[in-house]
Amino acid sequence: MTIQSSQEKRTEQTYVGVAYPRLEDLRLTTGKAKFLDDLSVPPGTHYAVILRSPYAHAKIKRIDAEDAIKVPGVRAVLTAVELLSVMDPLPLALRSPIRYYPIATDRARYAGEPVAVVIARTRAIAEDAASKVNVDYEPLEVVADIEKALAQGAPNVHEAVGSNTVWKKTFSYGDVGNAFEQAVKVVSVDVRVNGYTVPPMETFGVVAEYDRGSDVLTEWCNFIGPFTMAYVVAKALRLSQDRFRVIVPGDIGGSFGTKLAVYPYMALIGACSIFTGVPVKWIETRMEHFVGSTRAATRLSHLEMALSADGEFLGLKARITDDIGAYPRSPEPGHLLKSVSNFTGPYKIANLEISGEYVTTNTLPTSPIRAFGRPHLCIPLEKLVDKCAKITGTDPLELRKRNFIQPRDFPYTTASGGVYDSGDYGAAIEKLKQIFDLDGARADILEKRREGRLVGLGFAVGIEPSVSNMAYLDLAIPEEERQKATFMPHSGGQHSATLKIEPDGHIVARLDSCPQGQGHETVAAQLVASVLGVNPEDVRVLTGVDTFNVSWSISSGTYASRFGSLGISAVYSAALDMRKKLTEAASKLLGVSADDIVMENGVLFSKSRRDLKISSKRLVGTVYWNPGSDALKGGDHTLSVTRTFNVETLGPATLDNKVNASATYGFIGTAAAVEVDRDTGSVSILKYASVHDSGGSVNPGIVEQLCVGAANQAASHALHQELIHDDRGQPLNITFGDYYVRTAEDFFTPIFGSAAKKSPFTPLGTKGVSEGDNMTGPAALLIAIQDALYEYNADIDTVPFTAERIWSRFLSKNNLGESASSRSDVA
Amino acid sequence: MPRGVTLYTLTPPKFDYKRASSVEEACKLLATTDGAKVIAGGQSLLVAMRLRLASPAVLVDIGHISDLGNISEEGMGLNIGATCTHSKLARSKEVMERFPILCEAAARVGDEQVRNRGTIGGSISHADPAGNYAPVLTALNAKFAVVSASNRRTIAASNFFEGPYTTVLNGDELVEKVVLEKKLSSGTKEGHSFMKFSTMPQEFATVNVASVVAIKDGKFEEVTVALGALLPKPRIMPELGESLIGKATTAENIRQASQKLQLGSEIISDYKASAQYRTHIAKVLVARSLLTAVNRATGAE
Ligand SMILES: Cc1cc2nc3c(=O)[nH]c(=O)nc-3n(C[C@H](O)[C@H](O)[C@H](O)COP(=O)(O)OP(=O)(O)OC[C@H]3O[C@@H](n4cnc5c(N)ncnc54)[C@H](O)[C@@H]3O)c2cc1C
Repeated sequence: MTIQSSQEKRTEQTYVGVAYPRLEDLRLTTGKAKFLDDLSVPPGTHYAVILRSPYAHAKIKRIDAEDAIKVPGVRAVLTAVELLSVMDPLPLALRSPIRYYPIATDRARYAGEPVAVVIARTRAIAEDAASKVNVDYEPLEVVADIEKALAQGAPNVHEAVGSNTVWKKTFSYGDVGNAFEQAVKVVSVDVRVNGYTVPPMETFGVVAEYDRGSDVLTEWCNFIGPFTMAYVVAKALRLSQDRFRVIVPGDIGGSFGTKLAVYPYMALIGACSIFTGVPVKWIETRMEHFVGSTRAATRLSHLEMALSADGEFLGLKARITDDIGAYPRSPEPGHLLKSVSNFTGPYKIANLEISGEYVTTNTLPTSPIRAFGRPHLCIPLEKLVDKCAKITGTDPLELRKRNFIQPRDFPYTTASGGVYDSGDYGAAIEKLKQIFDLDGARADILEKRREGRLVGLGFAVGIEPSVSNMAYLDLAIPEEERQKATFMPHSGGQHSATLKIEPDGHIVARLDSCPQGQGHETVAAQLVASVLGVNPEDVRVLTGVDTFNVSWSISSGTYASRFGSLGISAVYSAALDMRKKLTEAASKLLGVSADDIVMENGVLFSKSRRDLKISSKRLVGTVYWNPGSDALKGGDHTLSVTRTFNVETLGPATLDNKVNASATYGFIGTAAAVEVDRDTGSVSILKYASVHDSGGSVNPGIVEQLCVGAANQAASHALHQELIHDDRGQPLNITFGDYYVRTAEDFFTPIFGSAAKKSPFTPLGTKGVSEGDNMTGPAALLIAIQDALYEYNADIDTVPFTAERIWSRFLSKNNLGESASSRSDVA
Repeated sequence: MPRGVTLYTLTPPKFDYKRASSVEEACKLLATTDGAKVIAGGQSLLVAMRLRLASPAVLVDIGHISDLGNISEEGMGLNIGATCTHSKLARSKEVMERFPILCEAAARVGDEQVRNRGTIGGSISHADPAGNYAPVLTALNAKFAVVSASNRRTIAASNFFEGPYTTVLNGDELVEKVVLEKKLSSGTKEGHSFMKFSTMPQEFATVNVASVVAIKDGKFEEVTVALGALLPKPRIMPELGESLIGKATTAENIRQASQKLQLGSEIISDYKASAQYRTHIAKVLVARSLLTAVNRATGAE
């Protein structure tokens, strides 16, 4: 564990590109990791239980907590009446008269919205007391879906808005009118993506401790960033940022994006601690997670492609309607805006028009879920491309290749401002064909079809953006306002890393990331070890954030696939700086020039005179214990460096609504073969393969594990995952017993291949990776199902497309089970 | 329960806990303690308590009574103790030899952790309409030995289940064992098959089918098919026997008989599956499981 390596000679990059075993796994797999609920709490901590509205839409007439307060051990029962005395609304990215609090004020707008918080000495007491609270409501008409929300005379979720449409905008690039006039054919598709989530094992949790003496609120929470939201919370709690300390533990039990939405609860529990003066702990239950945390948007999309005679994509038009639940909370309207600059994916389409409409309903509010908004986009876009191929009689992969951005075009700027770094999409497709054994798969399909089986193939491709340039949200602000001198544009998305060598030679890397299983400790250790010539085990990596003690920025956190590009770059740059510091110190001590110094196997020596050398341990010791020595006098000899890495293309949005929303752009191509059970509609995945361009992986093993998970989530999303509510807005599937999540037992094994093209924007060429299968996976699977159901001319227009939907829409039109086949099991 | 709020709890209400060391002691506790309830594996009861849907004042734990989970042979039949776990049942050689369908049903309960703790006695007493055992035990014509401090009786599976989460058990009664009998005339071959239809393998079923057939000279001698999960309680479908007994065990005969099934209007319809779909799946599963049972009986599988 010291800079003095015990092992053989190491040179730079020894561990880069190696599937090094994960350093965090021993702790994680032996129950020794500490998650939020495992942390010790401040003395005097009280426990919060949240009471939630049973109505999706109702006026709150009276809350009677008299009996509850009398229960011994209860400290307080808090409602909006009390909490609004210490809290302002949470700022929204959208300009809107809506006031969003983490607790219902006069009205409940979704079933599950917090209406009161019971705070007691133990959780059990709080739950006992909670059952003594009575609330009187006046139920109001419920708007549970987009169609109803937009219907004439529909009741408004927010009367102040005067409509359920909270934002509407058309973005236009190039000359769309002309493109559609030139078109030989116009092909269109409609797709509905139902609300869904990718729930983590560990639920949300917050411990808040307000200290009256210092006026500092400290919160321990499993929040994943971006820390822009910590700013939003501080603002709502009327705290300056130097008085709001957020501590995120190094271990988070899964997130898939959901844990960004911990932030309203950071505000709620923080307000409870400020109001009561005691530390307050809240751990969400599983059912609460389903009704009260977050979800992905429900989307209706209509896409149209203008095609030239030879199948060129001349223009793309999209009409998007997103249902974002009861409140348009930040970072909405990100489901759409995050993708505007790369809406055309890997295709060269010069003319683009996107009309977006954001609708509130009496359902759970939304936020980013793994691959924020991209499954919503990739599924209809790839379905459209597939349909174009059918209509033009072109091979679906060939049509894609014909319209790809070509290797010579990079860096490539899209019609809407995205700056793609690198890629060779055609080569990736060739690789995909090879690992999928496309010829073999096609022969197999034909063979099975001859046996009367319903089998099909589907392909989908996409770009995999990494990092989130905050500038994209400025597209939500009217241009007139952005023109004003007082307007401050947003941009950037940096990552920081601090590297320190302790006086005894131990190396510590401090990241500003909040990993949830992504293996940052291992990857960072591999990088530092490679640069400083030690073993990965010799580098102690600290993750998680403490805003009082870690170098962080408002972009900090782990979301938007950002570690692969920015995180790695920050760590790597810090390691290079550290090596430079060591080399410079050595050059002074040895009296040779710095470029003459080589570092190998824990020893620094002069290239020209090999006998001039110093062990790095002694070097570090000298810097710490003897900086006054003649050789070192006058220099900066701290062995601590912090590097913040930002990609320069992440500029502000322009007035013509061009913006580059991400730093690097990987590529993914997916092929899937499925079989539909003719009798039941159940789908089995016969084969699934993806090729990723990650720019090159520091740890390909970790990348593969993450992609296995993503592909399996993709299958669940395509086939059955949706949040179901009745027409009164009551959520129906709110446990793991009815919202099905694949476990290790149910995983299928995808085939993966790599088609890396280094990014010119990051020092090691790496890009973000692992959300790709969440985009192309559902698309390829649904297209494959369409293909399997070709006899029925199937149009798969809903996500998920469940077995029952397949049966009721298509198979039931046939006679029952021609084959009472002998397959022994059907589940 | 609160009025006007939804509360998602994690902790059970306050309760007392008593560990019984014998069936007699358990019965006595049940007879003399107000609000007492049996706990076996806790896989259903603890869930209900943590959600505060059940609030027993006292739990009487029968999970530590020695020998209550034993499997013993009786003639060609078997006795299965109430606290026999799903895992033990799934892996039992004795059960596999005589009533393989029961191993199949046990192996398809939830996940490994649930199977390691949950018991057959708890499962049938809980009477979840989607439970695996109810149709199987009904099809096998099983009997349940039930005891209380003052009484002892035997209840046929077909009379035991009353509806969702309700059985004929009294509050002071305990299921002690499941009794299975078998009598086969010479020349008769028997085949079993259990099939569960669910979105993911570990989830509760939307349709369960248990088929037991006896075959002699290539013809159906006996056909017992019980359906579960799509009805409030397990149901034997006698019309299948009527149309198949005496007929050749061909796929075509099976298909025709399954297609004719009339399931009535009691079919459960919810967000997991509509009544229409469940009815359709039931017919498909009946055909498939009968064919599997036939193949197993004739050694084709
Ligand atoms: C995640 C999960 C998935 C599941 N999936 C399935 C599935 O796919 N199929 C399936 O069939 N089941 C499933 N189950 C339920 C499982 O079978 C339970 O084990 C079973 O329902 C209860 O058995 P237990 O021993 O745990 O009973 P407990 O939970 O201890 O008790 C359940 C009820 O039975 C009573 N009881 C227990 N033992 C006796 C007795 N001997 N006499 C009288 N009353 C008694 C108790 O008082 C209580 O009311 C699942 C459960 C879970 C948690």
